[in-house]
Amino acid sequence: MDNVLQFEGVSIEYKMKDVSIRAVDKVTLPVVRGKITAIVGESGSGKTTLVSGILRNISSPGEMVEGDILFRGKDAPEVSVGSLDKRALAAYRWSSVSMVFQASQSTLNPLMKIGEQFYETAYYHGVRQPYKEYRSHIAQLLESVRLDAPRVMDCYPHELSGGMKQRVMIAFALLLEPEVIILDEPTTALDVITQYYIFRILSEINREKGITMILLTHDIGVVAKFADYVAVMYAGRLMEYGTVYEVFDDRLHPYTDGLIRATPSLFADLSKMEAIGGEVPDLLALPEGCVFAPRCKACMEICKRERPQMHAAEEEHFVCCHRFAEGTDAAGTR
Amino acid sequence: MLLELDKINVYYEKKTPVFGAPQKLHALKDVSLSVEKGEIVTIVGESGCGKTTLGKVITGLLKPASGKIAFNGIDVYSCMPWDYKKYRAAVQFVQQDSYAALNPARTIYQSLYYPIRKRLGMRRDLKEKIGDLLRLVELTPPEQFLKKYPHQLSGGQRQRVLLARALSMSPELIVADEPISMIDVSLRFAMLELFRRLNRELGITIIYITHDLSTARCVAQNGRMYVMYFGECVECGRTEDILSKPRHPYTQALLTAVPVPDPHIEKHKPEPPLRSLEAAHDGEGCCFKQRCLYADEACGQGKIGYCEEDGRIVLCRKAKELPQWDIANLIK
Repeated sequence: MDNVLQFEGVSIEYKMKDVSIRAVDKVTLPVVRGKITAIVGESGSGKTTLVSGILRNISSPGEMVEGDILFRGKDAPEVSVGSLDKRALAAYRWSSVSMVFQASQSTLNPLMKIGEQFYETAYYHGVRQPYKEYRSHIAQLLESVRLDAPRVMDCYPHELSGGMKQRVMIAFALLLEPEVIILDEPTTALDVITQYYIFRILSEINREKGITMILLTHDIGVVAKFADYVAVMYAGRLMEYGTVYEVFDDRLHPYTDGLIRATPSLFADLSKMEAIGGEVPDLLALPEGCVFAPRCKACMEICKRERPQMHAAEEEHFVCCHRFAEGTDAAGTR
Repeated sequence: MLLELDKINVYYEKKTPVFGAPQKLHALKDVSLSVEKGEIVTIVGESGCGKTTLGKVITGLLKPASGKIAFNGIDVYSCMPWDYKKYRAAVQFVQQDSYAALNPARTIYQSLYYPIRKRLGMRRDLKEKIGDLLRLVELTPPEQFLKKYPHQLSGGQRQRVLLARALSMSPELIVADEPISMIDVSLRFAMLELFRRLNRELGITIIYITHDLSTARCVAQNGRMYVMYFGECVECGRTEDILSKPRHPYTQALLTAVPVPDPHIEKHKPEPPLRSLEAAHDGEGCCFKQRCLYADEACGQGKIGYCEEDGRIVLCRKAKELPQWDIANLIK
């Protein structure tokens, strides 16, 4: 398997005065090169914290307390992201892995024209061409996300609509031709039609340039549309991982099953829809065994006592559930 | 007819320039809407299409520049003050942002008791009444919630408190503005179920405002739907009809773009039938002409009339000539 990134038992904790919150707990997850991996989870499931480990910008007081993230660039040896020194890290960020942040509309500098912002970043990464010459490169990027490049380049952010700003941010992430782009809820607050086009542009970039993408979302529909691989997270733990077809057709974890069945759809039989009972877990008071046990319909005795391990169902399909280990999969509850 | 809106117009003033007349934004253009008792009606549209404005007009939070609102047959802006008071109590609004809608310095009990005391004049048994309301919205046991502050509750629980507050007035109509957009995904469906239950068991009429067609289908499968675009209602009819055979080109595009949680369908779906990516409208003629595949010269001029056919109203000159479109097209 050719993985561009590999999480190895990563745990991230937020240490407060007298408590510490484990936002990510022992996550082992591959990111396959050239493919789109979606990390699905509700708010507080730790997906943003997990990927911020890739760029090593976990917001304080968060800290990676366990595990390692390995990055293997094209034709380059494997490096541990945690061991990069200051210079290597500066070179690695954005030119190897870039990110489209959540609410990225507000990440643009309101005082600078779009083109200048692009050039600024390129300059700090060693581009020494004058701005006038570099503009053609920026124009190319903006055109690749279907923007009217000559106009947009000389615009200030407030002159653009939400969908345009989002596309500017995607072009911005492409600036240094990274190998991986992280997309953190790239289409929240955008219209359905705009969302459709943004994902189409992203798929084209993925196909043509072979850039690996990591998509963080809570929208099951978007996952079905866009992703090749799906990782389902709940309360900081990885629940299920597999190709999008495996996870949707043959979902093994009761949480995945519940989530998909609780998602309104234009086609699904409404009488078969069902809500997941209970409340979202409190990270300060997590249950001892499986974190999903209090809401799980197929909960057994062992689930309340012991933490389940990751089990391989297929070559690329993993699930973290006692049911699977015992041979009765979650499908039994369907 | 429980509620009838006739040719409602709302303008918002844009920032006033130093010189010259203030610019106006036409937020609602001749919107007519009718709701029968016991129905669930959904209003769908993208952000900025005027759906929240319409919700505010219905609940009386915003007075339209022109047009008539009749509740139970009585015009609410030219009736007796006691009738107006009755209307305001009988039509309740459930806001989108539950955090902003609750006073952070008041406990849930305090937030709920004030309207009951003020409007219903109840002085005794308030605790029982509020307990019943919380049980009705499935916040059990109520004692656990009464003393809590809004920040101690989850988004779903806060939204239920808002619903309880609306229900405390024993309303005939509840207008819910995107009530699930700030709730965790796994809890959304339970909230939709609650709305359906209130409608079924208490006979409360519900107007559900959303941008998500799948949710609309889920809440109001047997109800009716209004599709809005740039302040105009472009299509209205029975939910199942609109979702299976949309007539307006905009509805067709919207339906194609909605992501379906099934990779087998989603990965092979055709493109939305659209000419341009950007939503734009210059105020002349049809609001959808710049993105419409079928638009011609005449679509850009004058006023576009509604085209009515077996209970379906479509704001399109060519509604009858356009090729039939079926949702089955999406599944290859």
